[in-house]
Amino acid sequence: MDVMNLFRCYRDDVYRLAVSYTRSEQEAEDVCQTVFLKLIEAGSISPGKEKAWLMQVAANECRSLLRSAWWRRTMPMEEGLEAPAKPMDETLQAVMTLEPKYRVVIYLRYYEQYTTAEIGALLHLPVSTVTTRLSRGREKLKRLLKEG
Amino acid sequence: MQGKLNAAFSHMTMPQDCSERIQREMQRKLQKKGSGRYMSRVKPGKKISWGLAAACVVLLLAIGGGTWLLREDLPGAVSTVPSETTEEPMEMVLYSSNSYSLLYPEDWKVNELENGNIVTFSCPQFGRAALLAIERTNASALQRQMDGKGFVIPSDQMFDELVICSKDMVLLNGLEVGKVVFTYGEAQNRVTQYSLLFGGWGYQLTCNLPAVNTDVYLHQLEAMVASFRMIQEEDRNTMYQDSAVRILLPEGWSVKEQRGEDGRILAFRDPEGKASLTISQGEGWIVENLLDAEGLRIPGEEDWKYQSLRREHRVLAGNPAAYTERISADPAQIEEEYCTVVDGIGFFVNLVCPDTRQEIAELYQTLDSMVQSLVLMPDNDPGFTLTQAHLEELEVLCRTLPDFEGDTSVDDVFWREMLTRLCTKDTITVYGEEPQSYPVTPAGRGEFDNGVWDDLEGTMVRLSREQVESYVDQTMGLKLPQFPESDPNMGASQWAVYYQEGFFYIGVGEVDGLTYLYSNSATVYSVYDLYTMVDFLILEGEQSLGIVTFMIRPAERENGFIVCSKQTEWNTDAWAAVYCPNEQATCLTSVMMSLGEISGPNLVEALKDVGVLREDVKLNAWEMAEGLIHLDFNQAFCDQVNGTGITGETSIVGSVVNTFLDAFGGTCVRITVEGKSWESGHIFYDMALARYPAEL
Repeated sequence: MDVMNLFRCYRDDVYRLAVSYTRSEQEAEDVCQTVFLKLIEAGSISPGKEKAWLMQVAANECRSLLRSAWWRRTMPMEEGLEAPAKPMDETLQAVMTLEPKYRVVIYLRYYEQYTTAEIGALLHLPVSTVTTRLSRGREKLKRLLKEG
Repeated sequence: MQGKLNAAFSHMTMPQDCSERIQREMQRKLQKKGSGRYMSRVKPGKKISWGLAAACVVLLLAIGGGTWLLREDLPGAVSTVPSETTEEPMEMVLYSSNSYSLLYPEDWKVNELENGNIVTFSCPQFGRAALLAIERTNASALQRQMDGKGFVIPSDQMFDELVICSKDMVLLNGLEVGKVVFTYGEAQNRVTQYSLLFGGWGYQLTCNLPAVNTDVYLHQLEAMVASFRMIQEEDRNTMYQDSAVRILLPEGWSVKEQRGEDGRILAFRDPEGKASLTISQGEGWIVENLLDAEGLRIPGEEDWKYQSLRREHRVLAGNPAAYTERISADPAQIEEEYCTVVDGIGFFVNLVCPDTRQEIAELYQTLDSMVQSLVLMPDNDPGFTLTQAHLEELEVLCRTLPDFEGDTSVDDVFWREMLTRLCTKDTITVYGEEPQSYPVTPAGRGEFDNGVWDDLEGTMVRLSREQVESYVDQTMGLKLPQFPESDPNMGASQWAVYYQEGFFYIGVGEVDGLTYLYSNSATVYSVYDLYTMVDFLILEGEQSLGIVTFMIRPAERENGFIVCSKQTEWNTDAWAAVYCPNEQATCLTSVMMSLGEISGPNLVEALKDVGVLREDVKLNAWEMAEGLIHLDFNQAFCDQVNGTGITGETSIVGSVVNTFLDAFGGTCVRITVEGKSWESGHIFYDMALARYPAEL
């Protein structure tokens, strides 16, 4: 499959992951662009592994972004999300108020349905860390939804 | 939650303009590169499939329904109830049958009918009328009378003027029981009926409360019901039990457990391998995903080759369950499946039985008894409650145990670090000075024989392999691997380990100077077993540096548990809740923001980022003492507040106060401007401000 088809297949998955990480639609768009441009540079990727590759690179990009001093200084968390064209679902809003480390594992587990081992491989985390974050994230989410 | 999350995320798609922009960029890049081909094939990731495929055969079980209630024995519209009853507390005596026991007032009459399957307890004042009737019946028959939630709702055809007062799930001797209360007849006799499935049988306890002296009889009946206990029939069957499942295990049947990433499967097989019962356990949302809008499961495409399909709501181990029965043509088999979610854990119970008519009676009934005997315990604590002693032990392990994850992540480096951490000094010895430090602190366990090696100025500890083996087994339930003999070529105060002739020689380390404070524990289900997750904060002085998380599991060890994993997460960043008013300025909301460090100036910057404070506002000074946070702003702060109405003022000051209180945990905030108390158009701020309510 050529890169354009891969883009059409997985753009939303990469985009969701990036929004989950950054909470900013603008940042997510930039991350997506970087990821798909890297795909062109990457050359061949094993058949069947394209999605995993894309998610991996997206996660790495997001982590780099979160670490950058610029992002910390300038990112007003709500900006990207307060004025979307469509109103945001209550559950999604709750997910977005979680810390990135919880948001991402929840997205990968419950939307992408990755196993904890796969998430661990994707995010370079031990399985028990993923499990812990999932557990804590769920608890926080429950609390947020109750309070909401 | 799974459904909600799915729906929420699925609405999140890449905006069209963004998609077009990226495509343009990609095209441009491809043109530069000269080729757009990408030689790979997209294969969607395989999703978890929990369908338990199996062929089906017919089995129709016609089990005669048990008598629901000894209606003729009940007082019904008893009008001749004696009004005088003894109000003295009654002596209670024990009634014990083959399968249950309870206490009853000693002057009450016990009547056993139908080979003891129906037992009535009647008060002398009421003659033959039973105030409590217990019926043991075929579990499947009772199951058929139950609704999908475990209640047996009496038919109004059986009673005149039947009124259902309440229905609820209650706990009876630890078992979930459907309790239905109803009244009937002109005299409004009140009946409380408990229905439960246990040990392959169905039980119904029916209390008939007379209309006179209600309180006295209510008390007695409640005491009798509360004393109801099941007695295991262990002569005929043994029970299989683990942390989440308890079920009858017929003699000769085999049990096989298979664990995987997403759950575990318990497979029970009859000795000849003709029938099987499988209990699959995993995350609840997987089960929920398979149910339709009515909460019933439609078999997957691979299961469609059946002759007939029945789907209904049933009860499994006291929990509402989706029940599916498939009868297949080839091979002739019957397959039944229950799906239920208990406290976030999903269970599939899958029963496969050959449809050989002669065998149905015996094999199917055995399987059915097993299903009906099932007790699910996902919410049970893994077997122990965290005690102070456990926490103290874990606190020590925060320091002494390196991070690890099951037996897969322990390698040579891990063992060396573990041994090094075991032996630490409580004071620091500088090499070359007079050695200080006897005894060396055995940071691990007190019973270690700290045979201090005489060489190297007392900076080395000798531990026998047996001691370490015991420690490793007690702490982690792991086996210590074999270590090759090594050369003791190291100097004093080195953090090193070598092994020689059955002894480890360990260079003494230093105490890290951190403290570990227990913060939280929770039961975690998410892999395939139950764990208790225990968190400790890592503190340096009062500053939190991170968190240590243990996953522990009960085990027959001295401590009552073993550590399955330990992970340390150091704070790489600080997060703070920064308050700001919502769009309508009707309430204060908070957003989590990442700050390099939680400090006054950083919080003020964050408040600017969310639009609460103007860019020209500056924090001149800030300090915290005894719960009071003092903030001194420049004049711009006062100007900003004065330029707004009362709501704006409240939202600005409230956001500042709540943000600082959350970040530093103080009780109130004093705000000054250029070192002095200040005045807005509405309030003179010479006082400390407590937390602002969310509603403005």
